[in-house]
Amino acid sequence: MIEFRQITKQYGNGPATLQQLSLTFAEHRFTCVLGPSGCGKSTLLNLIAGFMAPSSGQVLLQGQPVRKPGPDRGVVFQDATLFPWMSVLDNVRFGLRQQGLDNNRSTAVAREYLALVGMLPQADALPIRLSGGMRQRVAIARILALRPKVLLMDEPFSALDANSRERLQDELLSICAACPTTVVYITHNVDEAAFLAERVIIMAPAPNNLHADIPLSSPRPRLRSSQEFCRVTGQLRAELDRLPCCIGVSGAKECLGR
Amino acid sequence: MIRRLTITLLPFLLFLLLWQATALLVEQIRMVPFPTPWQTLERLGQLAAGEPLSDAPLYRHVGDSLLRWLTGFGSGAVAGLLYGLAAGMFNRLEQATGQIVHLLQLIPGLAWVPIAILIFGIGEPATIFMIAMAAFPPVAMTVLAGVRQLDGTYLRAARMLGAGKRALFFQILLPGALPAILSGLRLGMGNSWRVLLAAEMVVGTGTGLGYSIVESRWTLDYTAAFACLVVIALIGVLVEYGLFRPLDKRTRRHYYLEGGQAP
Repeated sequence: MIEFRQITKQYGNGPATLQQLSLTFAEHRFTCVLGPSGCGKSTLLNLIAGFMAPSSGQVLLQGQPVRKPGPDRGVVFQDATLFPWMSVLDNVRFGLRQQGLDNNRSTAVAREYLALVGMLPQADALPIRLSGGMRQRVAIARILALRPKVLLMDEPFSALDANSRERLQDELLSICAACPTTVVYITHNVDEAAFLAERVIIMAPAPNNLHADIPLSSPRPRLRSSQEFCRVTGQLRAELDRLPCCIGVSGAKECLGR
Repeated sequence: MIRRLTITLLPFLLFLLLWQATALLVEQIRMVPFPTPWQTLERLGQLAAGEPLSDAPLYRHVGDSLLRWLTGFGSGAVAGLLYGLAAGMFNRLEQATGQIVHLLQLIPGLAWVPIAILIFGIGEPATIFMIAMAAFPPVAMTVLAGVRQLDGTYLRAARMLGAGKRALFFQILLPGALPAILSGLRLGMGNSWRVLLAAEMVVGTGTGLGYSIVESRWTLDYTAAFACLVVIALIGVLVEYGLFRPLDKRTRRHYYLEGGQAP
């Protein structure tokens, strides 16, 4: 589905962020990417999204090289980046209109997806009237409405309080169960990865960006209090612990090695 | 209500008091007449009633000044807006020309006098050129910064949603840069208003509020000069409270402040 072939990415003349990284993401799988700050997680996502080009190597989507951003790869950013001058409904309709849907059709589809994320009652509100969690729901609806092949999520819930974060995680899983999508989900949060992912990739700073690749086979939705869940988070934390900078452990340990 | 009214009027009353005190002091110490607030108001009444000042009635001076201002500010602002949008979209253009705009920003409005007169000769076009040059840099730089600010956030999101060039420009760039455009226009208007008056004083324009103030020196009609200053202040208050405050409030409410976070 998505294939990284010998990807190297460096910014300007600085050291390489990604070096000779080869990696594939299978269709309809939910992959979480974990790792310390500065190891290239966001770079990885930006390369798939087409926001930047690799310094060398190729990113392929269904065999075709990625050249520029497009609606087949929807991105949910850390900030919702809804357009503040448009109503919630118009924000969702924006992408649909770009695909050539007429007024009525785009409104109907937008309302359908707003209902899916539970935001239909706020359809006419401006984004500033919404809480952070509600904005993120609209941002998700705006992407899902375009029926993307790939859903790219860059720490989408990290700015939210713990309660809304867990509720949105639940909803994200039920949405993915309803309409199977390939998801690449970047996070700092071990619990989040253990709860959501079918596969966890732990990244490390270059030159060996691929630190660990761990399949999580237990069925979803998982119980956050189960023994299995604790075992998985323990395993992930242990892997992260072996890296120079371990946000995954407590956040108190600052970048020791870098 | 009464409390609010007192708070609003207090600075105004203080100012009048200070003015009156200055007038009395100057008359005592320097033995020259200094127009008091009341005399100024009286003279303003006479002028408003149609008494000519520097060979033209007051409304003609006001009208000519406003027209000059709008023409000069209009051309400078449109140029600044277009430049700001273009330089915001095309990095190369900014790299090639950005420093020039910064440089223009550093030149005080009146310093354009010799250049304006050499290019256009003494008269209307020279004044308008100076006013336009005062409006251009703040509008250009603010709009450019506003467009740049959209780059990482809204433009990226819009491209990801499949927006073409047209939609990017009209639906994202223009509305997104609107707060910056408004604050740029506000800065440019203030700048060009000040230069307008100064330019009218230096370049002999024949009419205008700045011209009248300078001319009143020759007739020793300082009270009329004070009356012109009052008119200038009134116009400023009118533009600020009648146009910019409401517009600003509207965009703020519509955009991010008031309960939301800035992008």
